[in-house]
Amino acid sequence: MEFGKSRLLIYTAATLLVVYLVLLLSTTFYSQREIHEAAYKSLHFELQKRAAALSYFNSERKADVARMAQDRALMVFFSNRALGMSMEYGLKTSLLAMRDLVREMETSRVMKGVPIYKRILIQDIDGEILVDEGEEAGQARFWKTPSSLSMTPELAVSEDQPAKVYFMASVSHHETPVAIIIAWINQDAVIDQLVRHEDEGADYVFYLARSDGSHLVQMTGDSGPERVRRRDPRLVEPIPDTPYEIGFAGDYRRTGGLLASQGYFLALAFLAVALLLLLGWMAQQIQQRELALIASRDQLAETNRRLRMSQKQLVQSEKMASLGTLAAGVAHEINNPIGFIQGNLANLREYQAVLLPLIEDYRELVQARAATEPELLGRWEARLHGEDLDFLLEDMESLLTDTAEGSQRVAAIVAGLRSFAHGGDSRDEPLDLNECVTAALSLAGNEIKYKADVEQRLGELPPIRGNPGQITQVLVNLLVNAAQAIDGWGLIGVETLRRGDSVAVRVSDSGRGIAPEHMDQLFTPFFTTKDVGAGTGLGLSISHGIIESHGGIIHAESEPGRGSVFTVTLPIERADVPSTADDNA
Amino acid sequence: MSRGFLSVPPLLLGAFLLLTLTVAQARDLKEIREAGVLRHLGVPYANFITGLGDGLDVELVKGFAEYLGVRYEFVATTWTTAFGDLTGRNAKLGKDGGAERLDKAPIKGDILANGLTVLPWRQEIVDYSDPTFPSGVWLIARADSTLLPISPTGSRNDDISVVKTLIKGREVLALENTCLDPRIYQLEKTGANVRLPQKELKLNEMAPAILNNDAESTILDVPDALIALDKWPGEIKVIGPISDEQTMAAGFRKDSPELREAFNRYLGMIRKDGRYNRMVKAYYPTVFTYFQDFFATDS
Repeated sequence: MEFGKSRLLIYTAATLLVVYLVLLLSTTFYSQREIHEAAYKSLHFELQKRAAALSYFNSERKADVARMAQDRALMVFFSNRALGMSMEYGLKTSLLAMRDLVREMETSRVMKGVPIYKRILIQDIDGEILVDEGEEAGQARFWKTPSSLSMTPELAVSEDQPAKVYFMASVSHHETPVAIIIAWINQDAVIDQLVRHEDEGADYVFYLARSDGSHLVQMTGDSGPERVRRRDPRLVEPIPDTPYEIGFAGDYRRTGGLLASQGYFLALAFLAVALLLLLGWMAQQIQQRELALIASRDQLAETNRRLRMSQKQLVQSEKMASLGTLAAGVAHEINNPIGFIQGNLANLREYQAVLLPLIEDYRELVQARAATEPELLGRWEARLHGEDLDFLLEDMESLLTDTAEGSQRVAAIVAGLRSFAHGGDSRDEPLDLNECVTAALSLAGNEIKYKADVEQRLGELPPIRGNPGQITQVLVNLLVNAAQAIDGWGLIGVETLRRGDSVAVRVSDSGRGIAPEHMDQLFTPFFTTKDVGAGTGLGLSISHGIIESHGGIIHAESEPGRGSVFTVTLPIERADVPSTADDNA
Repeated sequence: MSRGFLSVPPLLLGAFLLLTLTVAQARDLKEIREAGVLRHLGVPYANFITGLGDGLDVELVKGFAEYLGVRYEFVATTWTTAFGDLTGRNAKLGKDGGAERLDKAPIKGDILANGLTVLPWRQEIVDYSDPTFPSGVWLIARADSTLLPISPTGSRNDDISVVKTLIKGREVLALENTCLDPRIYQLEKTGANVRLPQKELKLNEMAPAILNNDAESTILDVPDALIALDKWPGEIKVIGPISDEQTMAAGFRKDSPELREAFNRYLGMIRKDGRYNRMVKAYYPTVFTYFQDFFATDS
């Protein structure tokens, strides 16, 4: 299904691309003329804009030189000089005022950060340079004398190739020309800003030249003078109020070609986008498959983990079975002697009860007859061998008590071993796991209440079959262990749930956790990490035996420092017991 | 007792009171700080004291008062009484070229600052601060005068000699008791027809006076001449120098050394940080071109 959609997408994209290319080629072939015409109009408009800007620029510069020529500083200087004053005595001030005027003009006229003037010169009628300021100050003096100039400021072009643009005006005092002001334009930077077209390059340029074609003033960019030979007579625009024109050099149809090239470029771009889309779709497919592979791999890893766990449990079960056989033998062998011991101890207690009063009476008799029958007292003391009778009697009592307790403990251990070996009472009846949990919590209450909060989450469970007392015993054991694993105050969680054909109970704690190296020995008889005397090391092994006898599994997980989780899983229907119908029978 | 007191001659009593008053008002830095006011004596002159409440020296002394942490007070005076108002005794240029001490006068101010040119006879009666302004005296003539500007020789003394030769028999306006006093420059020896104004002129009225045909030419200090050239371009011309280069400075009583030292410290500070040049530029914008060395901030 997914693959079908992908094919549809590819077909659609390819069809669109073909249609687009057909349309583009049609436009290219049949609209070339219109494109060229549009390019011509566009260029002509650009030239008109530039001509207007250059005209305005020209008028501004003419105004600048006119303003300087008529400034009061020049008038003061030439007046004082006309009076014959020397530079040292009075004339220098007005000369420096002229210099300040020129400097102010140079610094205040800027176009896009570039100073408009690169040199301003005031030269008197005798050719003496009075003021010469700017980045090119100090270069050659001007060659014209003021008498040859008109009063009107004008734009001029030197006869260099390419020509230099400057503005000049004559300075008069009492209507007599006394000096000229020449202001050279920072041509490369400033004029270029006014003339250049943003798209021009190798194919075409704009140029600035005298209208009579005598001098090329400015070619933009890095284009060479040979370009001007390719100037198009249709694309020339005179600059108002000046003897100059701005024009286009090159083949304007190439600009239309540029448009077509742009179309091809767009087509290629479209194709590239389509390819990219296709690649994206393929990448998405690959990613999905990769995700599926990852999921399979994870599933396999989980299966493998479970397999290893089952294997481990199988080994454990085998080990437990062996231990159970061994334990059963040991228990049987010990059980009889311990029976003798406990029976004999009971008899000894009875004998003691008879003998002790007799001994007391005999001692009193010996003491009473000591005066008349000293040999009797001597015999008594000889029998005692210097021992303290009172201590002996007391110690005997203590020894009997300790022995009785020890034998009872041995008997309990033997009973535990038997229980581990044989799964205890095999009574089988309907069993509600949640009721077992409640009963266990009640029984273990004393152990838990000073150590932890209990969080219960009891799910709805079907009844199972088994021995409720034994299951409760297992749960009590787990709860007590959980409480004992907690230092200070913690949390014990009890959760029951159904897992397919099984029911499970999870007992978790926030205690110390179990070291990884102990995990394999948890269910081994007599293994304990508790203090000596605090546990027999049989609790979990017995629990293991009970659960196994119910056809279930007991499993432990733990993280040191975080706590442990014991999970008991029991089958709802046991294969080793008769069906419900039989129970009712 | 009362008879004895009353028998003291009135003239003697008056002299005693005047002396007491004079002594009581002669102050140095400590007394000025205690009084909380600095009294600035000044003659309205050029752009040093415009007479309109401002001027280069007004700003300079105001800044000094602020530097001292006292109130500024302007006390107007004249060239005739300026030294008496400062020192308690009037004085003028004597016939021998030195100072001639005149009658006593009440002290009215603590510092005399109004473009006061440093002259030898004045140094006998006041102590000057460090120089505050460059100066000199030029001969200025009306544009239509037949006096022609000299061609500088490269020697200031030779230039002065040439100018003094030129003015023989010519009308030259001058002003007694000022830096334009003709006796300072021995104008009487040149054969010039020195004209002293009938009425007391201010220094900045000298250029207008020759434009008004009061005389063909006048001597004028350089700062004032620069202003006149800017005000009346083409109407007056500088012929050449009459004096060597001079300086101006603030004048102090000779018994106010601490005040003078404090002023010099203040002046040095504002010259160094550029404040002084900003003050000068506001009143004499063209003077920097003539006296670049004097106004160099690192000098």
